[in-house]
Amino acid sequence: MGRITRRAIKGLRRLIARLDAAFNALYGWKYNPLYHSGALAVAAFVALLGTGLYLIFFYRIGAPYASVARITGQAWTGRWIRGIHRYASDVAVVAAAVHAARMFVQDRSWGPRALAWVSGLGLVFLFFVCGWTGYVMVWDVQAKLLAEEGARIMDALPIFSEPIRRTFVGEQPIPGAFFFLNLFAHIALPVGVALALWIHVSRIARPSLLPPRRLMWGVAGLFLALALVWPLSMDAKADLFSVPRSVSVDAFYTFWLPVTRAFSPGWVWTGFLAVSLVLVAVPWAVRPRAGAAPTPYVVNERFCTGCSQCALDCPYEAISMFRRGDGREGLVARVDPDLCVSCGICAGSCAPMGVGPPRRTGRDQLVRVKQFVDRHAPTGEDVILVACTRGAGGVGAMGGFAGAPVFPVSCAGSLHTSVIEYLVRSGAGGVLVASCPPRDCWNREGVKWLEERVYYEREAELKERVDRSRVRLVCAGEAEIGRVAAALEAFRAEVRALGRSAVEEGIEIDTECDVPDPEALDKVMG
Amino acid sequence: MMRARRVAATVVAVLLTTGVAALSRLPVTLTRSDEARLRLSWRLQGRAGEDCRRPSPEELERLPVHMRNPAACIGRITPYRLEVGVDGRTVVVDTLHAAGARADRPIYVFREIRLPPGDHRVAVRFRALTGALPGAEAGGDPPAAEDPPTGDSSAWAIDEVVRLREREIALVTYDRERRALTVRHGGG
Repeated sequence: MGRITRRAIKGLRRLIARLDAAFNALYGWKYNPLYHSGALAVAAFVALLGTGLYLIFFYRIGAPYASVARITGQAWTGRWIRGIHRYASDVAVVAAAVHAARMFVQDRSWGPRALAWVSGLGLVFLFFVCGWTGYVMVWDVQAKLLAEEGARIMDALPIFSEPIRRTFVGEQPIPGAFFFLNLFAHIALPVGVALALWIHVSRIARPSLLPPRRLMWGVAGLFLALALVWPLSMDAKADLFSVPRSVSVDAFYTFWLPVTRAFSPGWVWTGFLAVSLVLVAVPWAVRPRAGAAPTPYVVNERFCTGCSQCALDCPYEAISMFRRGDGREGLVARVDPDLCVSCGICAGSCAPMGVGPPRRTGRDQLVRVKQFVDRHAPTGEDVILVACTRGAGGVGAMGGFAGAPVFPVSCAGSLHTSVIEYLVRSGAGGVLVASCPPRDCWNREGVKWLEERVYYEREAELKERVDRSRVRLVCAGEAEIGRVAAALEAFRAEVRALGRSAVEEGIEIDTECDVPDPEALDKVMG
Repeated sequence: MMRARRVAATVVAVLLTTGVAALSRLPVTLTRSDEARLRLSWRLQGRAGEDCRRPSPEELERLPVHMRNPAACIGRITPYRLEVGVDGRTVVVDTLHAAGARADRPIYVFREIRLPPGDHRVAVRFRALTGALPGAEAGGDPPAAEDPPTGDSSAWAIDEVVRLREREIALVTYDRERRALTVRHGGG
């Protein structure tokens, strides 16, 4: 990638980060629709299926326009359902576009994530084709133009025994078989969408397929209200013997219609293939250069107790448990390098600190935090900021922030709780961990697991002996430096009220963990 | 503060929703012109034929004895010539070949001619090009069409005044019942 492209991507990332911050201010990170763009697309798909199943009973192949007009004419049992069907299809495309843009600019489209990227493109393509067939079903002016333009473009392919375009020239009435095939495609394509969706999420554990209920029903309610207040209208019926002066196009589905009409089918195909090629090539174009890619995690089998916590926590299902081969009882974890995105979540989940690449295991973090403490010698009133380098206002990239020393981590989820313990026991007044918002974690579940490890005893938990009043978590997006500053200020005030913390010498960190019983291990083994 | 945030959140949500709905029914002007169209569309199976020639004695000499055929023939569908005149002006002159990789499919005619609304004298002529390859002899099967041509060359020609309304498409096609080219308008 060239420098200009990188700058453009960086600019787009900043723009998205600012939009995130604005939406967080309005809706909070839990209900920020930008964070739930992928799940909103799925929710829209579900709404499409539901409303589509209803509408299909009233559609007539023999009288397509009249049957849709009849549905639209029924204020109580038709019009608003058709409105929801239409708007849900638009929401799906908008949400998918936002989702794809986020994945692209946040550098989450290469390596093991390439499958999700490519299958996501397939999903969008299927949605477009499904939308195309849906608009043709209405058989109004736009439908006729779509059918004619589609036929013109397809006729350029030397695969049809006779030009499809002849169907729409007016020599004969449009055959019922055309509307039947169109309806069949409209119904069959969602099956392909479901299959592509399954592939899309196949490499991630616990995919969030639906947004939080409040957000989902809020969006649904808004579009329902709109469907009632501003109902869908019908364009004029398709007339094969007239040139339409204007047409209502759906900017999300049929935006290309006025454009492609100006070009020959050859150019349209060339443009389509070029755009497709560029999009499909994204994972290969943006991947780090050889040697710069983060190393996949490995397990030090000497330390691994077989507790399987790393396998449970891994957001990409890259870790599996196997029977040990070194003569010891139980299981051992192994990382599949083809699935590992090097997120580091497993480093935070491993109590004996036996997993991770060089310089990023729990043990390495401990070495680093000891050096950090020696360098900064925190006093009992100092708050140490532990910050994710990818988000959290960007403070993770700073040596210090608002007078607080910063201990950077690649992801809050990769932070081993023993680091927090070490900081508190070595005399720091408090430890503020600044992470990305949960739904915007580069590694999907980093902050979720961190919170459970700190407050809910998830392995590798923060030990009981650590005073929780000296530990705080704050979620802040990339452009929310103010949120981090405010949390730091507030926490400093709390720490001052707590008084100085005790300083321990010769701190020993406990690396024990609970190993599940053999029965549970067998279950993990499947 | 909280109330102001809620109001702002609601306003933004409503604006976004309305924006999506508005973009889903965007009116686009396709043409500001009132031009009408004369559309020509029909299908013809075409006249199957062979282009044959007599190889020279030298050519025959180079071939194995069992391949020395006195006539070398190439099968083909006869190409057709389309000529369209409007108001005495020739607007289309084209040679149409059979479709398909082997040029053995029917011949498809599809042309659209933009015309101002009003009356126009339209003359269409569609005829087989019987000229064979140099040194060839015409031969082969009689014409086999979707609706077999009558053999009357006037069946594949029209010369009449066509009245076009604003943005109307008039279709010139082959009428199976009349076995002749005909002009159809939207009304029937």
